[in-house]
Amino acid sequence: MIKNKAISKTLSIVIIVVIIIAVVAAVYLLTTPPTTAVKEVKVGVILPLSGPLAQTGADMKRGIEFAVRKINEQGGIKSLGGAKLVVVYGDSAGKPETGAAEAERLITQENVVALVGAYQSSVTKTASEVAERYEVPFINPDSTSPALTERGYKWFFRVTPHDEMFAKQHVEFVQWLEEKYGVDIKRVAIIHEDTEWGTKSAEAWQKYFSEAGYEIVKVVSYHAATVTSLDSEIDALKAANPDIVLVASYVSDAILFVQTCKLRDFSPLAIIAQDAGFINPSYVEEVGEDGYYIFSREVFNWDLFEVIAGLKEVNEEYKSIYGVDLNGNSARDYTGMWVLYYALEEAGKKADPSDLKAFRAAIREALVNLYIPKEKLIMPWDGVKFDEKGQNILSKGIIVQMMPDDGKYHTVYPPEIATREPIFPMPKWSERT
Amino acid sequence: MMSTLLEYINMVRRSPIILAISIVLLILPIIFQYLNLPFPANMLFLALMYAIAAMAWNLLTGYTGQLSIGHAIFFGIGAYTTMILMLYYKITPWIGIVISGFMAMIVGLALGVPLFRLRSHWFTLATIASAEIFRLVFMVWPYVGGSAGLQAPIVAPEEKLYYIQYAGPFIYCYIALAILAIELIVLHRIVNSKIGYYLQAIREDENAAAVLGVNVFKYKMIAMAYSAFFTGLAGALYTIRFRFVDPFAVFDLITISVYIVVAGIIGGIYSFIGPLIGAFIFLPITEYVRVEIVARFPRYYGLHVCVVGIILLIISMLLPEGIYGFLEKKGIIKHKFFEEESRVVGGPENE
Amino acid sequence: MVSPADLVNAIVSGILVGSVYSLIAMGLALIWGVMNIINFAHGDFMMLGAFIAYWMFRLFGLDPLLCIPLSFGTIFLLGVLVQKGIIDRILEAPLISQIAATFALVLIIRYGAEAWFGPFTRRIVTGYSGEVINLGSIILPLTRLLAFVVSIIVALALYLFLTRTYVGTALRATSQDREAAQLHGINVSAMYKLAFGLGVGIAAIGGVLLSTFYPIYPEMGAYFCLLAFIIVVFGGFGSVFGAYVSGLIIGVTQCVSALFIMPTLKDVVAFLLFILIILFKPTGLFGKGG
Repeated sequence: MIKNKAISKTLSIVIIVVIIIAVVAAVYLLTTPPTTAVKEVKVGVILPLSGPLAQTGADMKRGIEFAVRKINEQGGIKSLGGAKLVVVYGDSAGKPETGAAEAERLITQENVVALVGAYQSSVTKTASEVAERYEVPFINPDSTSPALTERGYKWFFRVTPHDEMFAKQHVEFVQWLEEKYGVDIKRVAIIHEDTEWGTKSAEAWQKYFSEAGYEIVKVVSYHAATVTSLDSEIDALKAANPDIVLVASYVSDAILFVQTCKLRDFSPLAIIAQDAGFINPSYVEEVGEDGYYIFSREVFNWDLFEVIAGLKEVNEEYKSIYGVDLNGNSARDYTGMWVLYYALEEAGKKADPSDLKAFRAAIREALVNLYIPKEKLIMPWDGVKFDEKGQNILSKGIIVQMMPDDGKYHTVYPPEIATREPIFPMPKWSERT
Repeated sequence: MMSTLLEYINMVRRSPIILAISIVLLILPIIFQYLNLPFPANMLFLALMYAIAAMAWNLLTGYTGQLSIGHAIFFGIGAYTTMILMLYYKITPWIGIVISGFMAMIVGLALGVPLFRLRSHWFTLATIASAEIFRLVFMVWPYVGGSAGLQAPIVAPEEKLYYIQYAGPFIYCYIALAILAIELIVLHRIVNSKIGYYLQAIREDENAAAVLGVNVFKYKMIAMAYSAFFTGLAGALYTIRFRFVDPFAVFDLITISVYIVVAGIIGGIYSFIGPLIGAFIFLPITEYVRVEIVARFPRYYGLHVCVVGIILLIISMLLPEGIYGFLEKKGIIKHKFFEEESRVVGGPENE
Repeated sequence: MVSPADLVNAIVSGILVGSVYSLIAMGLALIWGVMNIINFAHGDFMMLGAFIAYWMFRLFGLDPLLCIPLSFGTIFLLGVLVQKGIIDRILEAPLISQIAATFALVLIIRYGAEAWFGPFTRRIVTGYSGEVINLGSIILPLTRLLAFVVSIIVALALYLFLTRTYVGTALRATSQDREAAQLHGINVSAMYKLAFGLGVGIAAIGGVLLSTFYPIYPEMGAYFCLLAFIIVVFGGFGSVFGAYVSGLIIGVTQCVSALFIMPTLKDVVAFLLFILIILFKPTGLFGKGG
């Protein structure tokens, strides 16, 4: 009896353990990538491919794929004998913990030489922390929270401008409007959604506008997820009688905001938005003529094709493959990939990917010393150069305005690359057709 | 403690499956680490984390009959406490985790005072409302980082052990396993004791129990204390693994509260080990759908949550005792995991 | 500071938008009253109603107000199917299974819609969307005014139905005492289907009305469902018209408090109020018992 029991006990243990090991081995064999003979350089990209920002994620993925395609077409990484650039994607699902897990997987399992990502600031925070820990360069083409470059990280490089830089630019824009149109702007009101992005944008605005001598007459916040009406908020703004209004909203609330301004007959001299909801294609489509004359900070605009050399051809090619124009997200990620490419060329002169650690360090060094002149970029920047915090200080935003003739956003500032003159002040609602 | 250890050893001797599974769980992380498979290792970690939370949750729901869809409160409090202690007061998470549990417990007890006056769906609605209040408050409270959350800085190598900052899920799987083991032992003792008996009596018929002299409120509070404590530990686990907390991640209705409920129901709330099994079934399925289908076709965002809903619907309609409970009922699982199967004095077939 | 005109406008705003909340809440109260089941997915049926209006408008240019019968009819049928296929089976099940099942419906409907329609935000802009009627300093957006009128009509129609028709009376009887109703020859099973279909159908009408002045997106059900709960609890379960009046009150409270309190706190207050009400006066203002 006891002998039987002992055997069956041991046997079941052994069987189960064997099954588990078999399963794990199968998983390993199925998921571990084969080593290729062809020289390849693997890069990891983390994007919100599922989740509420999946569409944006798909957008950015197109930008990345396009960049990789063009990079390989022009000969790959020549300093490594023409090695092909290969991208492995990780889905962050829009959650910081998933982004972190994907970063771990890309670094340790896929052995990527660098990471690119991740749009949402919270995801970028955790994914780049993993990269910092493993000493892997992390290129951030599209997250704008200022906090990201305040962490003292050595391996984090942000290509896009951040929200404080944008706020400063808003001030410059308003000052320029004043000079150009001989209008005295004094009173500034702010309305913002109350998560980190909106709140920090509002703080930056308050800081820089006050410093520049403007009076902040009203700051109103609202909760985007549960807002059913902005009537009281708009009325509060109206009561404060501002000259201009600064807005930080996402899509649904941007639509609500514009609708309510019309309903409440509120039209200050100018409404200046902070990207996000206001430049989202859904918004542009749905807001129609109510959105005319509104300014927004942007990072990129379709009409730059007329003023940036080479951009037109690039966009034509992009459009022929994907059926849509480049936009701020796909363009920034496209650019981020190219920045990495230039760094790879430099790194390839000093190290080889077969020694992962040394190669990653070489990439980092290349990024620290990197300078890309504006002529090589499709973005409206002065170039790419990272400061000691990892921020690209030659980047900047643009200001666009939705024009009444075609309902599209046109670039109006900085004047060197503007394609149109801004319409200022904004006509009253009753004056519009 | 000794007696519980002896009890555990007894259980293991009686049931080879327990031993097998214990061994498997112990060596899986090592295997994953060696074979360089961080993705399944992370899934193991998540499954463990949710298992800890779901087991704790079930003490209140399956045993005491108080359905909570707001357990994110305790998870979030646990997560934030560990982070705050670590960030502002430089207290090591080894201690911080325990304090988090107690913090969550205190919050749970405080909530219990008003909430336990409510019965059935009122209580459930109140838990949902309470969780949302916590989420909103943490979103605007600057001390806890507001909606930006808090991130722990990377520490120097000599401080890695102190702050439990390691790359990869490896170490954390073991910490999770340790917490799970302790939790299983503690919970098992409770449900097989007088307390467990009273809790189930309360679940069956609160009024009758009161008439028979059971101090209903006291026992509900006891259940809440343990339930909140261990869920808080799960939250602390989140913090030490990801070193970042924000209200959207840890106080979330769907990805924390509902996932815990789903894990419990899928596994079976009427069996002791049900929620744990549920977590181990449910997490991999959701992740699989997300990674294989949704991430490939971002147009179909939401599909994996929809699938979760379908599974939940089928189980709640056809298998109210959960998958594990069903297998038990059908005699497919003959081994009683624990001697006096904390098999409930009730459950659907007895209604 | 806040001027009297602002206050009056806030109150008017509150009544107008509250009338739409009321519709949604009425449907919830009906289901709860007759079947004693919490329909967590109520807001999502509303969302479907709104989407039907959107697609009809987008594809055929049909004005949303004209779409009401279609929305109502479709969601009513859907509700009956759901009741028959799912709710019926769990009416006798333990509470946890009931709640799990209706919660599962939330996930299936909400995220199924998201997977199908895409997570985008949409909007219906008709020729009269921007029209405003000004009565002195009171601003009355036309769309909301129309919504209010429709809401009153629907409420009246429901009232007449419940009090003046045989079926309606049978419904009320079932909600009061199921066994007695059965003894009187009322087909309780049919009543349940009717109640559920009617309940979500009315919510769908609410959705259509909302779509005329509010953005449409798959997750919109979440917030309005919560509001509906608060309203129903406030007004007392089983009291369909208590829910209607409460809806107006809650609408006004929301708009007026927005003048004074920080927005996120506004939501916190709403939740706290909710908990307080169910703690201390679960029968609500008009209810007949919880």
